[in-house]
Amino acid sequence: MPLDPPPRNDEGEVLPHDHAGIDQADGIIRRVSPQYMVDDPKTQGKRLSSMAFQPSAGDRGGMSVDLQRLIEEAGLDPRQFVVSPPWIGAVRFTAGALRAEGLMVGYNPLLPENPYHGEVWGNFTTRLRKRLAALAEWFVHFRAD
Amino acid sequence: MTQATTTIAFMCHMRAETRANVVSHSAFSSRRVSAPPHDYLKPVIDRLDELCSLETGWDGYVAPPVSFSSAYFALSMLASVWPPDAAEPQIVPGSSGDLQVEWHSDTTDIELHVRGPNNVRAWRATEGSIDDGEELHLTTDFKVVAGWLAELSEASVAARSAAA
Amino acid sequence: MKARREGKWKYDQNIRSQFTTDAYIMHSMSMVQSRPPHLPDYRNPPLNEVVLGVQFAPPRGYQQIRAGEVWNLYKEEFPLVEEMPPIPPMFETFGLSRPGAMFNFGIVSGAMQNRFWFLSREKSELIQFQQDRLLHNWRKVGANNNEYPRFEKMISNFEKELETLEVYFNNLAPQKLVCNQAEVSYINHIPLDKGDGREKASDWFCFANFGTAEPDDMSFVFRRALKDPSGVPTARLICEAATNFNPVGARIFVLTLTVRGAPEDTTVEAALKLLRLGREVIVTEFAAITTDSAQEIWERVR
Repeated sequence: MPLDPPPRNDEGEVLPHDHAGIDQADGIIRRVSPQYMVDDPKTQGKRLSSMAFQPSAGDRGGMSVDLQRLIEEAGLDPRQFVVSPPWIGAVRFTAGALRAEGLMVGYNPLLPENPYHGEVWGNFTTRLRKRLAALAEWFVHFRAD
Repeated sequence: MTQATTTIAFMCHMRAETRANVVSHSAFSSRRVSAPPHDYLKPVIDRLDELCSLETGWDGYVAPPVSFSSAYFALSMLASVWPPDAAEPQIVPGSSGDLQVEWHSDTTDIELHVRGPNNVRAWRATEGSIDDGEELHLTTDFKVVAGWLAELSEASVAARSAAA
Repeated sequence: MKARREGKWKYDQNIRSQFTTDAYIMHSMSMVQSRPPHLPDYRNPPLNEVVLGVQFAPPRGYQQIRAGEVWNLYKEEFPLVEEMPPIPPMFETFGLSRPGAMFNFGIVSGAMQNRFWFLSREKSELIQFQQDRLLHNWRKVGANNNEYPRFEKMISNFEKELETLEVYFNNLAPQKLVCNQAEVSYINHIPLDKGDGREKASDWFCFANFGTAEPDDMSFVFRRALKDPSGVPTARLICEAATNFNPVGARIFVLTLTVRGAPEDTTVEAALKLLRLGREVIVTEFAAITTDSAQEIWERVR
């Protein structure tokens, strides 16, 4: 079911919001780059840095995500859709898990490139980013080549 | 006598025909020499150069490369905190031209999030405080972080001695 | 206040290592329109160049192709132009005590834009501009008889130049200059070949005394952190001196005193305040490290 349009300001920019149409169980996919991987002896190998979970620049910038249900409702495979460029991986949260951390999960379609684009807004402290790194589940691993 | 800088004599040699050109360089001077004590920073410099050269969208969204000024500030910060005998940090780009400098050991995590020049969130967690840690907002004084790294270094040396 | 050896001049030694509370308050309120009365002054100082500079975040909407528009802002008084290689960003940070160094990377990747000199007709003053810098230089030229306009006039002009630039950038995209470093430098040329017997370092510098084994040439650097009234290091004094030759081949000491640091906030006003405070440190340090006899030659009057 399509989502209601997000709230916008006079310049047409999407305002931070928590979208009622995004259910708690909905998958929220975050693309991650191999640039974010760090060595940590505590995890016996590489893991994602907390830097993988932070907002984009700008006063109203949220953390970019892809809304899994919208991708699936469009008949696309989310695991294929999110790996662009092809060397990117992806992790997944549920909307409920993000909201439990005090974050807002909203809808911000970027037309025409990504109509399934969402954003997560909140106070991205170091502690929160590390919590997100711990909560994230791998959705698409990096390609080995 | 401290080690001399060669800049002014060097520039005078290069620009003898225009004295004013020479001395006008002196503020924010284009000194080109990394003195030998800073050679250990070379891997970090190479990594920062790589991060400043990332293509826009490297993160799968629209992230720009690490900003030049943030990279230079990070380098200056590292020169102020990182002793040559400490482990090399890992450097991770951010989604808005920022970057993070990280050290991870069996017992300690140190992360310095360079949000921009004069704007750093420094975080450290040690064994027993992994989830919470301590966070400081720092501008140009990184003495505390130098202390953190000294402790990290000592712990690593102690661990290696115990294992030997 | 502590007397300086047995000399007649007395001043507050604290100024050499910190921005004193009085100076901080005075410059916060922009009360100083004339030279602060406590600062040493000379009729004939060996001053060769003065540089005021501010480094800021690259403004949104600016590209190098617009450099001509920036020149137009100052062209009436600075009608000549030269193009120079860029200067990498510089920051003063504090922690471990170690020699300063500069680093260069990104030059090949093209991350930095060229620097432009906008010169006055006589070439005695120039504005240096690149995407993250504005500097204003005064220097001696030609027969060395062009008069130093004095710091108060220089900083007043520099303030107007910064404001003009900020208005220009704001017209490209709504924004203020985000200043992250400010720097003031005084460069002095001390002649050594005048045949008056003052050819040794100890004739000019209090701390230099080689006895009978005067070196053929020398250079040195020292740096000192400067603290704000609450004791936090915020800027650095850098003193460099080296023997050299002027364009006509005469031996000189080039003595450069620089104060560089992060302003207390990102505004132009805060940057100018740091420049004013830095100048006080420099002038006081110059008096502290040079000899009484040198200061007589330079005709110290205060």
